[in-house]
Parts: sequence; C-alpha cells; structure tokens
Amino acid sequence: MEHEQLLIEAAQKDPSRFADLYEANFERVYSFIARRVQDRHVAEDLTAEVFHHALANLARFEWRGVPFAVWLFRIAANAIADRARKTRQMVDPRMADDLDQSSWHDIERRTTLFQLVNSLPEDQRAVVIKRFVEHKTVRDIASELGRSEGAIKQLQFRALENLRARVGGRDE
Amino acid sequence: MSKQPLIEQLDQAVVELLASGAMPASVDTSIVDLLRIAQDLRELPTPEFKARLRGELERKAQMSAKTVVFRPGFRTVTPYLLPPQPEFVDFLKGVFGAEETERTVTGPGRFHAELRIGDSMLMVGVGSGRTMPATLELYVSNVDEVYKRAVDAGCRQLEPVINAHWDAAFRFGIIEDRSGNHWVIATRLDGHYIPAGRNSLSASLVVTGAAAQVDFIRQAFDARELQRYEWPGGLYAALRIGDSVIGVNEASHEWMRPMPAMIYMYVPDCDALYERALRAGATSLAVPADHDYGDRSGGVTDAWGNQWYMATPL
Repeated sequence: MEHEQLLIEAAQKDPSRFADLYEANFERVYSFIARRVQDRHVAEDLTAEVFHHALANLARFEWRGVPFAVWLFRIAANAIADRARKTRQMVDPRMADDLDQSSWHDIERRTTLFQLVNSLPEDQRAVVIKRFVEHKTVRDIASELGRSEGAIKQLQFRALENLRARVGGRDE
Repeated sequence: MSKQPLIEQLDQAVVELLASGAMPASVDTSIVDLLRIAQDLRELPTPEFKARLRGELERKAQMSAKTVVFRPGFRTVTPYLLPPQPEFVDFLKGVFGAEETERTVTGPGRFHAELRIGDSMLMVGVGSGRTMPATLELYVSNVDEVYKRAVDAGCRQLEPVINAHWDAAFRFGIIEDRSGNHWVIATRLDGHYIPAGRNSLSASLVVTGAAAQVDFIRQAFDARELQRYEWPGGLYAALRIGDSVIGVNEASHEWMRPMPAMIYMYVPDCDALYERALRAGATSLAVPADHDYGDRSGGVTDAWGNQWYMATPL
C-alpha cells in the first residue's frame, strides 16, 4: 500500500509516471468493466475513458489509505452508468457499483489470471489469445501456427492447467 | 486415465462454452476447474488494446507535462491553398499586402510558403500537381480599394461591393482569383473593420448539407457556434475553433458550388484531436507522426471532402 502511495505521489508530480499506475491497474479495471458490460468494444471504450479521466484528475486524488483501484472502480461505475443512460439501457445499480468484498475477490482473481497469461510459454499464450480473445477455431490456429490440431489442443490444455495451478480455484 | 481423452473433452467443452457463453451442462469433474478458467479468459483484454491505450496515455501525460510553444503568429486554424502557379504568391502580396514569412523548397518547381495577411497566416503549397480551390473570408480596412486591386490583377467579379441588405454596416464584395479561389472581401463600417471576435483571414467552407457539416465540426474539433443565418435553401454559420473562426456555407447557386478546403490546425495534442475527429466520423488521411519540419501532425478528411490537418509543434 505504501508502494502504491509512492506511485501516486510520483505521478501527481510527474504525469509521465502515470504509466506505473496504469500497468498496476489495467487488468483490474478492465476486468471490473468487462464483467459488467459483456461487450469487448464497449469494455475497451470504457476502460480508456476511465484511465483518461484518472490521468486528467489525478492531481485532485487524495490518498486516504484506500486502494487506488477503488477510485478507478468509482470512475468506471459512473462511466458505465453514463453510457447506459446515453444508450437508454437499464442499468442494475448492483452491477454498476458492486464493490463489496465478494466482488473485490472475484476481480482480483481474474486480474491475477489475466496478468498470468503473459507469463505463459509463448506458444501457450498465443493459443490462449487466438482461442479465447479472437475466438478462432483449433483448425485455424493450427494453420496459422503451422502445428497439428492435436498439438493446439494439447497447448490449450497445458495453458489452462498452468493457469489453474497458479491462480487457484474459484469460489462459487 | 490418459490425458488424451481429457484434452479432447476439454476442447469440445470449450467449443460449447465459446458458442453459448455458458458452462456446458455435463463435463468431467476433472476439467470443471479448467473450464472455469476458460470462461474467465473470454474476457481477457487484448495485448494490442493495452499497448495502444498506454501509448495514448503516455502522449497525453507528456502533453500535460510540457508547455506547447506554438509558432509565433499562427492561430489555431490556418487555411492551406494549393495554387498551380508560383505567381500566386506575388498576387497575394500585391493585392492583399501579404508578407511572406517562410518558403521551403520541397522539390523541383515545388515549394511551401507561409504568408501573413493582417493578423492571420496563410499556407500555400505550389507545384504539387494538386489543386483545391477554396473560399476565404478576408477583412480589410477598405474593401473598395482591395476589391479594385483584385479586379485589376485579373480576378473575376462574382459579387460587386455592396452594403449587405441584412447588415448595412457590413460592406463586402466577392471575387474569384486565377487559381479558382473565392475571396469574400469585407470591411466592417462601424467600429473596427474586423468584427469583434473575428480575425483577418478565415477559411469558409462551401458544402451541400451545411447544417450537418456544422454538427461535425462541433463534435470533431470542439467548435463553438458564434452565429448562424438561415434562409430558404441557404445557411451561413461562423464557428470558433480555438482562437480562430471558420465559416460554413450552404452551396446554393452557380458560383457558390461545393468547395472543400484544406485546413491546418495547431493544437496542444494533435493525437487526441485526430482520434476525436475519427470518432466524429472522419476518415484518416495520415496517422499523426513526427515530421522533420518541426511538427507532429496527422490528417483526416470529412464526409464533405474537406481535409483537416492537426499539428503540434515538436
């Protein structure tokens, strides 16, 4: 927490240091938003909006011992609600601004998962991104990577096993 | 149990998961945890998005950290003309009293020139092989004298000098120069010859669908509408962008045909304005990049064919 306070103070003095706060919180904010809007493009727009807003208003942020992410989640919740109003969608206030303990735990678990993908061996990471982000078939991935379909399925299996081992189980 | 059937089972379950978004109804308990990981991975952000957003934020942070020093004498908006002949520069000097402040040779028979006219700047690109005649509004201290000089220099008279019927203190005439540009030359008769809030030289877009063009400029460039006159089949609006004004006219008769213009804008963050213009519906002409002439700039074109270049001094 002390480390985070130092990062915030550094970024308040020198905005170019905001990148450190971004790296520490990107997956967290994206995870918070993606779970609530269920649309990749909207999630990206809102995530961008949150970080642009945070950068523009960082000077007004006052450290009171609460994690920086909570401030970002508040901005995100407002952005989600604003967007829902503009698109005339009903927004469940529990979904837009659900920062209770269980939600926090779930966000942290997915944040860890998303960050761990980058530490996978390159071939496993490539399969995860092509399969789950780009929604490509095993056949297409095999063709792109010059591997057999069996090899791609094996990489998928190993990647998920690796991630499960590192992130742990999910509370249901 | 061999892993092979599990690998196949897992893939089949992933196919179902990706198709329906829901966990398959019955799967081997040994792969349930893996499927839950797979379910979460559907929300994995793309590395490209993360890198792109970081780049945007870094540029924004740099812009907020440094004070952008704009080029002396330049306003936010500078019209950019593409006359075919180099003599055009002499025409500007002789008729409008323009002062050439810079000339850069860009190739055989080609050059970029910058000229001061009154309190504004004009950019000129000669010899590119492209022409893009535009309409400009120019406030001068004596419209009758300048109009006569223009006609003597070979300009075609489009409207004689008159006092406007809608505003007797607004005296103006319109000419077409030999490069096809239209000049609305005007003098304000009460007070200063340049109306309050205006500058000597402004681009004036002539388009079909002026109301929509105004909406685009407001959205894309954060413009503020200063005035609007509407009449059956016609519209004129003046919009403020930064410290400059730009006119928008409905194309309404023979010589007032659509004339898309080229605009060069100096702004604190050209990347942000470029992105904003794209979000407002513009199409990219050039992604912002650093140039050896000292500006970082990019460009877009709008639905009416106007070309907007946004630049930030490096």
